Amino acid sequence: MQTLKLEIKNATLELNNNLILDGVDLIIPNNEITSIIGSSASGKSSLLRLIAGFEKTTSGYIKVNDRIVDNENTLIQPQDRNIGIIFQDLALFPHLNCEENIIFGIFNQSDDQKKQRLNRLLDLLNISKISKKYPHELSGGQQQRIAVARALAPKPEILLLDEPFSALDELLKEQLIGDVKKLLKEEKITTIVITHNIKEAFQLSDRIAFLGDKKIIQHDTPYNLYHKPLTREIANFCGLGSFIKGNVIGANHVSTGLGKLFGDVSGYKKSATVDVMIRPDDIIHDDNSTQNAQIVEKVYYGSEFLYKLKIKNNENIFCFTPSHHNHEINEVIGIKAEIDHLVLFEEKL
Amino acid sequence: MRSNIQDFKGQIFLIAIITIIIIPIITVFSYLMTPSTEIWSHLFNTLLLEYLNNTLIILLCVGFAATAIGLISAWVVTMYDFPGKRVFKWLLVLPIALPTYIAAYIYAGLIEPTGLFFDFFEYFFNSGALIYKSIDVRNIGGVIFILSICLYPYIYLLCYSSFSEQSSCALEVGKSLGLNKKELFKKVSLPLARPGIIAGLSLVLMETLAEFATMEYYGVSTFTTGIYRTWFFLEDEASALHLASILLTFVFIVIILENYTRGKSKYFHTSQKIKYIKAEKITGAKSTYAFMWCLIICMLGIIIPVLQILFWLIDTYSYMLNFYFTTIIFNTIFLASLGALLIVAISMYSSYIKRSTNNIVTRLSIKIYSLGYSIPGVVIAMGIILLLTMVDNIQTLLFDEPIYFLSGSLIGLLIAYLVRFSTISYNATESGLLKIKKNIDLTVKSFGYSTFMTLKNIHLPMMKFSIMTAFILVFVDIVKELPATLILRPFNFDTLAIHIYELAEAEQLSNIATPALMLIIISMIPVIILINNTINKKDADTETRN
Repeated sequence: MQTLKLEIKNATLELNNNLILDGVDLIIPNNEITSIIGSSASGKSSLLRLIAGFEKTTSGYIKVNDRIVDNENTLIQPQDRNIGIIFQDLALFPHLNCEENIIFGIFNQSDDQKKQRLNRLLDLLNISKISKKYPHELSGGQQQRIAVARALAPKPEILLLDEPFSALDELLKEQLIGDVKKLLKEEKITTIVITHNIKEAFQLSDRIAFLGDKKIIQHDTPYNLYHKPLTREIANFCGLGSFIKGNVIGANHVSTGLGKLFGDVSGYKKSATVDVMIRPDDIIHDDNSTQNAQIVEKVYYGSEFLYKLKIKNNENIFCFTPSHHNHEINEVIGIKAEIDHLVLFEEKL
Repeated sequence: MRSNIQDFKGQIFLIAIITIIIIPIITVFSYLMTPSTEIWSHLFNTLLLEYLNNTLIILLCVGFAATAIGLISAWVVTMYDFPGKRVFKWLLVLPIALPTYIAAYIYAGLIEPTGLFFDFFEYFFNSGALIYKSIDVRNIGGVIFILSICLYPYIYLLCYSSFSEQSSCALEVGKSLGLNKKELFKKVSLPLARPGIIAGLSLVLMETLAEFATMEYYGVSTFTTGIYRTWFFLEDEASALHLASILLTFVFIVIILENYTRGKSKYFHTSQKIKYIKAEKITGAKSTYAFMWCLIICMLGIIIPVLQILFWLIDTYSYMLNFYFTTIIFNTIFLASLGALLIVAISMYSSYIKRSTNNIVTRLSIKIYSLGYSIPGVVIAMGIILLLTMVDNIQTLLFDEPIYFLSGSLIGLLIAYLVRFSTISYNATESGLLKIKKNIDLTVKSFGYSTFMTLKNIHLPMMKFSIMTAFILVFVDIVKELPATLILRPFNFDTLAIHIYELAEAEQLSNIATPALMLIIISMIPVIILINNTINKKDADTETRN
């Protein structure tokens, strides 16, 4: 059995008489990278502050390494939790150079040990060349790397990242996320990342927890979150999609404007009306297909087009198409539905 | 829980400080309604009208002249490019380093037999005596001239910032809408600069109301000189306090007017990218006019006074070697360092309290805190004498005899400085602390550092520059301060400012050269910092942006 690093049970947080979190349950195994996602003001940052120890739970408990750090009677101070944290604004110390920033949090070690740790981190994060520079002399990406190194230097039990990559441009971000993920896995550090950017969460995490309505609604692998979302909110959050009406026909299929779609319909009565979620990647453009749809809008993305299509019953779906398939608006094109998982929700009235 | 108690302690401290600051002000103000003595009715019938008249005329004229000089100079050096502009840009700030009373002494001395003007006309035209007889600065016109030429830099600096920060986009939009140059100035630049002008003008008016030595030396009776005379020569405490309370009313009116006119018009840049204004190159007659304007202002404001001091110095430099002079310098440095240390420490602690507990009590306290800067030194001194007498009386009550431990010591003086100069120090320390984001604190905490270690390793190094700035600003202001020091200093305790005042009163004008030069050099330090932070920084910004 995997050992647990962090266990949050029924945690409630009230600040100035506002209920911020209401019964959060979250279990995080050792060495996993978990992202906590949710819309802005959903309480993500408060949850992070709770784990770090900057806030205290109103009820419930938090355990780190099976030791209570926060419940009704106990509150272990942040400095005694051995939890590293990286804020959105990085909070690098402007008066210290990179080296000094990184070794800032290492105590009770000989200079040799410090040096060793420093060099390893500099190597792993590819920042040896800038180690003598001051934060203001660095680019955003380099500053980010310094912040990661500084947080990891004392070998924290848990690393918390609060929207760490939001200020970076796309290309830099992907590179950095790759490097950081590799480092976290090598260092075997349990990590919790707060983000509102689902793409980041998908790339970085082993699991994702969706925070909505003041509690964790779904805690699952990135794949399942995208393909088997438990609520409409999660479905919408995880990516573009549209909903079309369907009727549950048999034990394994639904009849829709796209024809019969096969899959798991358990939990729904026969002939019940449901909303079926269609992702753009569920629809494939095929000139030879007998099924047609009319182009309503199109957006050019370079390598591909995103078409908004009108199908029977005046319902809309989306479809990504390689960009050599350049069709005009109002043109009718052939499509094919290739759906691995049926994602159904109760009909929205 | 622990932090709650700490917050509470902090607020108690803050309230105690505020009490010290506000008691002298309230005590003086309470005399506005006190019944009059015999001297008062005499004052009322004869002098009050003169005080009022003079004060109003001086306020009006200085306000107008300083605004005109500051505004025009700032407009000329930001909008136009002409020979010498780079030098004038900062030379125009320098008169701020010249304490008004020193300027007053120098201009009075210029046309006297040891003065530059006198010698010049005597030597070339043999008409020194004629000049001496025909020019008289020791009147209300002289006061207005001195205050305008010394105080206009407040408005110049704020207008300079405002004009050069105005995104040229605003001007370009104006142009595209078909405004000509005159209309651009009237409809775009001036309205955008208005908050700066008002802030600068209110500073000028406060300084004018607080001015003492210039009025006294030029023999113009206003409230400050009236208060001083009534208190120390007529020895009528109540009447002096009554006068002081009227002066305070003027100060409050200026404060209220400033708040009212400024209203909600705090202006921010509306365009994302600030494109700094590119100065227009001018040649020929226009360029000559611009050059002459700046030259004349700089000549009057700083070049002539400094030349006069240097000229006097030739005769009197040996004064420096005087033993008494070293005592004075020691006194000055000792007093200013002590005061600055105290004030910076208190304002640092206050800004920490503001950081940890930003509630209504703290905010209100800080607001009152910033009131002290606008109270004239003479008034503060009187309030403090009252306060100390009260303490002495309590001592008498307790121990049967007064110990006079407080009155006559440096403590009263230090409190006066605390009242008057806390604001500048607080502004500096607070802006320094604001630069340290809360997340830095949290990060340090997550590493397991104690509060003391955080202060030592993170906050102090990061705030080093702000603390130094605060210290220098307060230090220099204490060195320059005259009226409160004059009234509250211990017996025979002379500082540079006091010494200059006494030399001038004894009509030994040429002897002020050494101490005055020293004072001007000390006063230059913060001005150079100021120039670096405003004018030079903007230049650097403009260059990198181009």
